Amino acid sequence: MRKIRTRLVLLFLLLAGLLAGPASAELIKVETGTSLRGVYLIPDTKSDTIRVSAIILAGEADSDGPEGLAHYLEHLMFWHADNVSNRTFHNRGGNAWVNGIVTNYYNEGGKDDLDDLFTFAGRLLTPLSLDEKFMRDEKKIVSREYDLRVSENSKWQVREQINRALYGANPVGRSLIGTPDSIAALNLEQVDQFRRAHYNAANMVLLASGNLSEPELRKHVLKTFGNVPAGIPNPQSWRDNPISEPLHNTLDIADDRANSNAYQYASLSEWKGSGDGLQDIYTTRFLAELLSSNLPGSLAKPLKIDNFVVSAYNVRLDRKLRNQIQFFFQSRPDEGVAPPTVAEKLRASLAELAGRGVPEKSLERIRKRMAREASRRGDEPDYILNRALRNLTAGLEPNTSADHVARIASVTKAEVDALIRAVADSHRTVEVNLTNTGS
Amino acid sequence: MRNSVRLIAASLLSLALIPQTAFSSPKMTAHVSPAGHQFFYVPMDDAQRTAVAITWASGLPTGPGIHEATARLGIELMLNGGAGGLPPDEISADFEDLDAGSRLWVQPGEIRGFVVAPDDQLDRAAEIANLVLAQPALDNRWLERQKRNLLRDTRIRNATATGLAWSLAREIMLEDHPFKRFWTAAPVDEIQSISAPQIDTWHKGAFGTADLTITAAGTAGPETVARAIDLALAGLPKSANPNPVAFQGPRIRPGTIVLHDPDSPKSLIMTLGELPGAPATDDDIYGIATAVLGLGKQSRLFKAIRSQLRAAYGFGAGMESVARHHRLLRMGGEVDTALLPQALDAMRQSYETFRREGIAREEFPIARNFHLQRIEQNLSRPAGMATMLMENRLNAGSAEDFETLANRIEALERTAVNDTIMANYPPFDEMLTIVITPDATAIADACVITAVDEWRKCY
Repeated sequence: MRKIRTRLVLLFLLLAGLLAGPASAELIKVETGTSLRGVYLIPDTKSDTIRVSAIILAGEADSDGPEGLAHYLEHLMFWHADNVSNRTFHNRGGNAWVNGIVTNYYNEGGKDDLDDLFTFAGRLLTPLSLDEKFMRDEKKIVSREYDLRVSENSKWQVREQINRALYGANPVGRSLIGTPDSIAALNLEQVDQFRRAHYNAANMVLLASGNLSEPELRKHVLKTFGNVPAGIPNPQSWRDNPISEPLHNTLDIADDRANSNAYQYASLSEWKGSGDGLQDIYTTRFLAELLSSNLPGSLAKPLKIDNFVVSAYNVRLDRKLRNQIQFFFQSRPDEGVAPPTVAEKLRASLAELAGRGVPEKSLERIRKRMAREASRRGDEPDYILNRALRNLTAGLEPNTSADHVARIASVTKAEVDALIRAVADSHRTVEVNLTNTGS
Repeated sequence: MRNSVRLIAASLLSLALIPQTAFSSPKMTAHVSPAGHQFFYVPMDDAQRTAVAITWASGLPTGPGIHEATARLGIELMLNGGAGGLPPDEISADFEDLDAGSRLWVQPGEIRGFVVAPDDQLDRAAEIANLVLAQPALDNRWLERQKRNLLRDTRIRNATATGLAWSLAREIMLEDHPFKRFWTAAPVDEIQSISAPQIDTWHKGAFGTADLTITAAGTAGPETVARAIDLALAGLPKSANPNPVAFQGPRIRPGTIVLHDPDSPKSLIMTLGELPGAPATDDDIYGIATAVLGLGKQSRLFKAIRSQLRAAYGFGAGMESVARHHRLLRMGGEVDTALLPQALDAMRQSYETFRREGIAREEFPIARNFHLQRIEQNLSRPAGMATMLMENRLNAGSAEDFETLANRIEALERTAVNDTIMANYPPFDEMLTIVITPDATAIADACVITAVDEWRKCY
């Protein structure tokens, strides 16, 4: 009876999702006949602006040079690509970022700026043509970025230490920005080598959103990339190198500039999932949402509400390696609470949840929340774009809003239970007790 | 037949000749809810949600033994400690179910709040908001926790170069004014002694229904909005607590102060000057001017300090509100300690050129277009629309000011913006420059101090 009811609920949610569409904006895969890995359009007739995102499917995980190489190249490549027709001012604005696995360059402008937008994207696949001193000096800028983001941010530094320890020799644990020493060790030869290896059409996905038709997009893609050779696709072979060696590591760090205690915990567990990588993303999202929520089964109740153990925390679940799931917990203990107390309470909470399974009612509330959001935001280009970037980072193709809704409806309690059991029973754990020793 | 073709052609031609605004002009209407609350509403056909924003005119708590930060703690306690007999997790989870958003915060002279929710959930969102506003638990155990959190967060912020620079700026500009005590959450012992009865007294006085400004935007329609407003405000006393704190504006003391922090891993420059408290219609002029000076990769300061001098990752300018009708121009960023004096010189030169010559012919249309896009972005969502309408109301703008925003921006001319820059942006030498650095000798002729409270020796 329970199974039938669950199925009926799933069917209802599925239909509700389907009836909510077709959304005015939806992801369309566009065949262009070029060598690009993929071209997608999110048409949005309500918008006056057009955004072109060029995603290179390579990042720090594909480097074996000093840490921070992919990020340094992103800086250089942005300025190189930005220098369209030697113009001083552009009627477009954009930026770029790295996440360790992919590198995203994006620009926004009006319809009159389409040539400028696509020329920028096209220049990403051409050799760097910047003044050599400018390129060398850009390392100083990267160092200033390190100052800005990392130098006063103990949590960032700790997170990077955890990643390195958790992933051992696997390059997915490398630091995105590097350290002052590694940044200083970067050189233009390494940069060019990385660029030649990875900045090619076979590793580029183009996502355009805004008031643009399919033929217009095709025309500009052909004009820009029609004669660009494919190059060699990045195999991202690090995804297939799981780490089986057990590790249980606790780092105690005293920091006189931290001014507050912190506790961070990360684990790596064997988790095969359902065999459908994209569906597994939804299962991990359900569990992360539940653990972060205020619902029964969350970590808020035992750690933050019923007991004053942490005043703030966040949870992430990522599958970077094929059959392994990473759990990451970052927290700020309540004043007077020692980090080991947080560790004890966290483990107990995860073990308890794994033992009894996630509360079915809570799971359905999470499903309803996500379905509501999908229904409301299903036609927002940013919502579709962020999902696409998440999928590309996971080594998967972007999915449509209709598929998104169907997958939310399809997550099962059994899969979420299996995931929380895996998280609670991890073979590699790294935890950091950061103790404030400042005045 | 031929005539009709001509007619169509003529219509198309006329369409092309009509200047097209980037977005349709919002239309504001005034209403009164059944309980008697006046509100202003903008319909947004495609929004799918509705936002309701409320501002209470509210002075800071004052009196013997009462710290101004009581209001900040009170808000945190209301939001986190449970309400209406419901424990914190239950009330939060109920709200999370609605696909809604909310915020409640306090600033000098005002308590601001908004709720945004799908139309069919607006009533429930308003009911939950009402529990928080009218029946917060104000539990003593949670109060002690929030006090500890406030002090910790203040300590964390003051340990950063940016936090230190702002602490010093507030000390210099505000001295012992209550606004400074409100923002700095100091001294520690006074924060620690804030009591539950004090919070309760503040709460009872702050949340009345007699001096409110209410705006709304979205798809729900004025009747639904009126019901939500009445639900949200039900049970609140019909009183007002404006108690305005007298404020003549921040006192900008010109000069350069170096706060020497030998342990700082970096250097930071922050320059502050006062801008006129602009009426609603001038906001866009200042917005465009300040963006040309220091917003984004094409801005003057970014090009001078990052692209040319290569001394910083990010360097720019913005406007900061001290209180309604009192705002600051802020310039600065983190810079390479070895290039600190050069960065300061480059900033001064770039700013003075900007002030002397204004915006160049080729810069202006791009800057105006970017500004229009930012406004469009704000107005594309109900919360942004309700907030911008709220600013219009609180700044005593007219309905026309609000409704003609896009046309006004499109019609702005370079000369008008440049006239404002030349007349109202203060000379560099009349501004306060604060430098946080591990190198005490980096800036010649600066007044060097080693702690925030030493600033008086510089004047």
